[in-house]
Amino acid sequence: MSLGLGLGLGLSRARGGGAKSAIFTFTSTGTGEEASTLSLFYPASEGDKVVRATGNVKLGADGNLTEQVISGGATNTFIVTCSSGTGTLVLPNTYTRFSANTNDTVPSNGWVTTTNSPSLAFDIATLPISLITFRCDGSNTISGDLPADWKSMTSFTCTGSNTVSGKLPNDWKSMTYFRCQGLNSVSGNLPADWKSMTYFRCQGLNSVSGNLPSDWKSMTYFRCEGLNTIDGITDGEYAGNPATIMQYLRLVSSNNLGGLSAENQEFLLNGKASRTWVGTNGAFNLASTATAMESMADTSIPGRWFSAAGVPTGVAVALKTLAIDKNVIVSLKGLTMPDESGDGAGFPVGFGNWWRS
Amino acid sequence: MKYVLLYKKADKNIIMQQIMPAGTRPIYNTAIYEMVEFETEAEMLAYIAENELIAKPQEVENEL
Repeated sequence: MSLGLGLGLGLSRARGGGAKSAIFTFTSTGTGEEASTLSLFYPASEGDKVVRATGNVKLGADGNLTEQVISGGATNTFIVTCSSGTGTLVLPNTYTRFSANTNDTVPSNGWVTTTNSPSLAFDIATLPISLITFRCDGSNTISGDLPADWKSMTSFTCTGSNTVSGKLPNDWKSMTYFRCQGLNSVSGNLPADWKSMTYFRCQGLNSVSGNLPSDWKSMTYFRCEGLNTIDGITDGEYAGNPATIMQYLRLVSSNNLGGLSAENQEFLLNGKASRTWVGTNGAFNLASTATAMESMADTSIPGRWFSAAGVPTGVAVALKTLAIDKNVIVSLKGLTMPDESGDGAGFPVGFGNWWRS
Repeated sequence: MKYVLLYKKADKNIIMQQIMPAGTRPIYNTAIYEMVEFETEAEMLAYIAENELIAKPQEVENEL
């Protein structure tokens, strides 16, 4: 295959994980005087192959090399500079971790940058299908659809100005950690088969949809913002594994179709109040301005907060347990907590006295 | 709409910076956290600087 076609596609042979080599494009940023660090783990079979720099990209601590020999069975660190304009690295598309360590559940950053070091760009769909971990926190403009055939992927992190797109792949069944921020337009339903998920965070222009899956029983952190249309909870055990420590739950949407019914919010309150939470800084935040997020205000008796006999309901006890006993910061649409006097907003008469007792 | 700032009293770590509509405010343990409301973002930022509050951008709930 010609070099020209390879450059055009960002590949040397074919699109996707079958490509023999990939091309990463780097753009000089700021003064261009500092180096970025790329870390890739190559299996033993890839030892002695060569990564080549082109254009204004240079390798090495002194910024004067155009080649670097790969160490097989090891994490390879590439010190990349680009003093002006752009350049590329042409590298074997056989690495299995885009990370600075070999921890498959807690990978470290595989792309470290400064304000004066190069920014990275590539089509994420061209990365190897055998990739296990991907963590890119540095300056980047990564684009492309999330590859459906990354079936070994356990941990995915992409921040920066990425424009990652495509549906959340159902086949990423080994996933434990998913974090995508930036200008992404990720879509698709929350995959029910991501049963090992502990951490899910999607911010940007995403339009994630569907229900919160009941099978995400190990989840301790969930945060979805953007234009999502998540509008329900799959019946089941969404409250999760009581042996794990819950940290964070936030669902808000700029799309009026995204939001939960009051009944679903009560379900979450009751379920999460039974969990062990991180000591402080935990958050339970469903205070979305989206129309579909139902207000939790109810000043009637009997109603959501008090029974006909004026006894606090289970959901009232759950709210107090979360906020006062477990120090979780709870935000729910239409509610303001009682102050030193009064009943706050959205609660019935007498609620404040019980809250302060 | 108000700018709502919530931080931990003990270490001044900011936990939440969020724009919230009237009638909706965080529900929290007043022994642990402090909440302050502002009309403008500039007022909030000035308060953060004056009181030497600590922001952790990746974890703070920041919708501003």
